[in-house]
Amino acid sequence: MNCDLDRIEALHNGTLPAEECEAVRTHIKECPTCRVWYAALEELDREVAAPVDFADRVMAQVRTTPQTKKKTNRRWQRSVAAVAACLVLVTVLGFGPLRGMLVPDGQTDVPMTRKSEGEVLPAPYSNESAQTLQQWMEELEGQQAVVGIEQTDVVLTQEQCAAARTWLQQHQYTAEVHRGGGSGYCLHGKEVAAFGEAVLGKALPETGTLYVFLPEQL
Amino acid sequence: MTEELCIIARAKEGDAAAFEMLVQTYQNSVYRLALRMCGNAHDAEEVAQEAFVAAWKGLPNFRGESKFSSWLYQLTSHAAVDFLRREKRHRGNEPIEEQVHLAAEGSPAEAAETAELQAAVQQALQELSPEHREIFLLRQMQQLSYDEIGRLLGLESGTVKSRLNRAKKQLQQNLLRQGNFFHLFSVLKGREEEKA
Repeated sequence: MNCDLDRIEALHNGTLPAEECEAVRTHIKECPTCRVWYAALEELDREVAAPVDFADRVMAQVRTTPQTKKKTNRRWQRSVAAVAACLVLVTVLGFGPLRGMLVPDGQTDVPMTRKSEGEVLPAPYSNESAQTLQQWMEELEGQQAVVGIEQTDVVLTQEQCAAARTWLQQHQYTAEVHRGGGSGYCLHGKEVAAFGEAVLGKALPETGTLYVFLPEQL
Repeated sequence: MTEELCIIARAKEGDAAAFEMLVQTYQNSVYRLALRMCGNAHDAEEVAQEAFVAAWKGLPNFRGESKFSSWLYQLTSHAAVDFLRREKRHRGNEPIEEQVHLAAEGSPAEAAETAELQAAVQQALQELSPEHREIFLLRQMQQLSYDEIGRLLGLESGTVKSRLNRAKKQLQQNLLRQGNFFHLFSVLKGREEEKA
């Protein structure tokens, strides 16, 4: 038998077919490399008990810690309803890797594009462009799409999207916008700075609001 | 609704006694994951405690799209990655003196071999990047599927699989580099006999 980490793992996990177990066991005994791997798996399986007073210490802290209220993020909803001009829906098909975008508060005077059709709404926005946007959104409703604005200062790479999603989940953010398959999050103040440091590795100002648009995971 | 779901529902409503039941149930597995991530008991306690407090705070927003245990492990591994990054900034690359020491059973010779094995495995784990260590431990210790890990970490399951393979290869190289496993056959033999 050749070295096969997967089969050794299967033996360790108890999922290897019975007729193969003996051969793998024999191989482990003869092969130092596989013996090392098997030993490591065995070691990782060792039960470990938390310290005796661990739960008490956790609960002492829990009892003085308020739970986070469910995020409703009304400001974000208002923004979407009233400032529809902030949003562009971009169809995914034919556009390669999905990207998320950060839209600093107030930065709305950038051209908006519907990539699939090459349509551009020039800045600054008017009631008319808001209506056009609304129409695009309705047309694209239910399709796989990314919500965002082009030509913002910060466009997230796919890696950063993954990091952003992880960070937002870890900090219990709930997406408030799912139109067209994207998810929108709204961060304020110090959250913006923390997000910048953790996800982008760069300083973002603690003032103002940051909208984070992430594509749906396909 | 299962008993645990009832307890979770109560904890979501702010019932600390219900949350304590969850702490009791999961404290060992959370602590064990934190210990493997951090490599020493002191940091592991801090990280495990951070994870439970984060779970308490975040429960009202827990929507049950993943299993509670998976969510908790995610909080734990993220807390550990954050902690390690913070510590790296503060400590630089100074080695952590206190390493994992778990109670070993058997004769003094076997206990010594087991301790050596523990140290070797932990050292090899610590040489992985926190992100690779996280993905490997979620899979190997918590037995999460690629899809579950992908959902938790915001990655495609194909990406999970490829990163996991890289982590395993790296871990194996780290173990072999230590080169002191040849005498550990008796430890393995003893365990195999126990299993049989």
